[in-house]
Amino acid sequence: MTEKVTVTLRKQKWEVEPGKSARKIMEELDLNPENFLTIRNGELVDESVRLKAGDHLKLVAVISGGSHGS
Amino acid sequence: MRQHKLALCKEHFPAWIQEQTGRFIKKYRMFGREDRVLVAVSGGKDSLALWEVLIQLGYEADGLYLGLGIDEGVGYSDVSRKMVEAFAARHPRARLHILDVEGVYGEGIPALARRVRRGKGRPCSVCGLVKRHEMNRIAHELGYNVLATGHNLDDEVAVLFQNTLNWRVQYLARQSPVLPEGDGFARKVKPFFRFYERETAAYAIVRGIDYIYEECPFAAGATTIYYKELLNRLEAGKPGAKLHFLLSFLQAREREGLLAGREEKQIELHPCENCGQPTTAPGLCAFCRLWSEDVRSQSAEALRPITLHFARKDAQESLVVEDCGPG
Ligand SMILES: [Zn+2]
Ligand SMILES: [Zn+2]
Repeated sequence: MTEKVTVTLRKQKWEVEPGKSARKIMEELDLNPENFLTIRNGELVDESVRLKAGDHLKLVAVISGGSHGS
Repeated sequence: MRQHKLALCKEHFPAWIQEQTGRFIKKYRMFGREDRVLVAVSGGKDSLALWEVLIQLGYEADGLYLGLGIDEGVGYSDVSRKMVEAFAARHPRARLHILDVEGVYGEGIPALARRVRRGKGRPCSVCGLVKRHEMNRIAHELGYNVLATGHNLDDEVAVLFQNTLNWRVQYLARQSPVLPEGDGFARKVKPFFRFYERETAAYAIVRGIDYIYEECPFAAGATTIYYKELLNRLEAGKPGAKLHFLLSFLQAREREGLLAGREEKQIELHPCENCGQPTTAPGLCAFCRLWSEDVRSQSAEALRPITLHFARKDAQESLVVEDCGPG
């Protein structure tokens, strides 16, 4: 069991200290929280949620660039 | 505000999205129970979430998927089609129409973009032309009077911002959550136009809708993404800025005469010699000009999409492939 929080975004992976909010973690990684949804251990959570040691935080990019409808 | 919705009421969030969608459909007079709605589905979060919400709200809403033949080493079209088919299989009340552009016209978007002048270095331009034409044609041929797309607030604001930076007056005059039908065009509606992209993504995730996360390989690095990120920086410092920008624009146009007079400046349209769809050019429309005589003049039969209808029988799902005339 790791003492850290694992953060993934697509193929990128980081390990960060526990006790910080998802928002704080994104800001420290220089990511704009507006661009992502935060999923903790498989569950969609608000970005204000604090992460504990051993938690997995998955960042899902929400911006899409193609036009719609096919 | 958006953040609340997710934070405070996660169990009520899907119902909130559904109610709001229903409210916007009525408020902006998009369509009613009597209308037949064709939802353009790409396999992405917005279009699948929209289709699901319209089904939940009890509208007659079927899906249209256009296979664009985009592989580019990642099988983009194959993967997105599987997502859409899997969704349709889980919603047996709705029908899914599929047109394989490559199969019917002999070329997918990448090959077409390489061949024609319009597409040189700009596959998205050709792609947009093909989609607009085929969606409208299929809606008309299958008897749907409304075409719905999954455009969200971020899409609309990015377009508005780009058109404003360039003062593209004719586009600014037209950008709208509802474009009325007429002259052979189906009505076009965007029921999600007031939802943030984060909200539509959250809805898809909470409702367990599997969607394609990958971007269309041609859209990666596209200007839209650049503007969306830029606007999100604005939003981060000034929450609500995006929604305000769009709504105040629509209001200024409607109530304060911004761009007044532009809408009357109608360009004369003629039916295309080949397909009959309205076009500004004499002779062939821009879509028909993409193809050789043989390809564009195929029979209606050959141009018809296939229809999947996953009717449930004895708790066993079986696939019914229908012949899909209007009605
Ligand atoms: Zn609630
Ligand atoms: Zn034509």
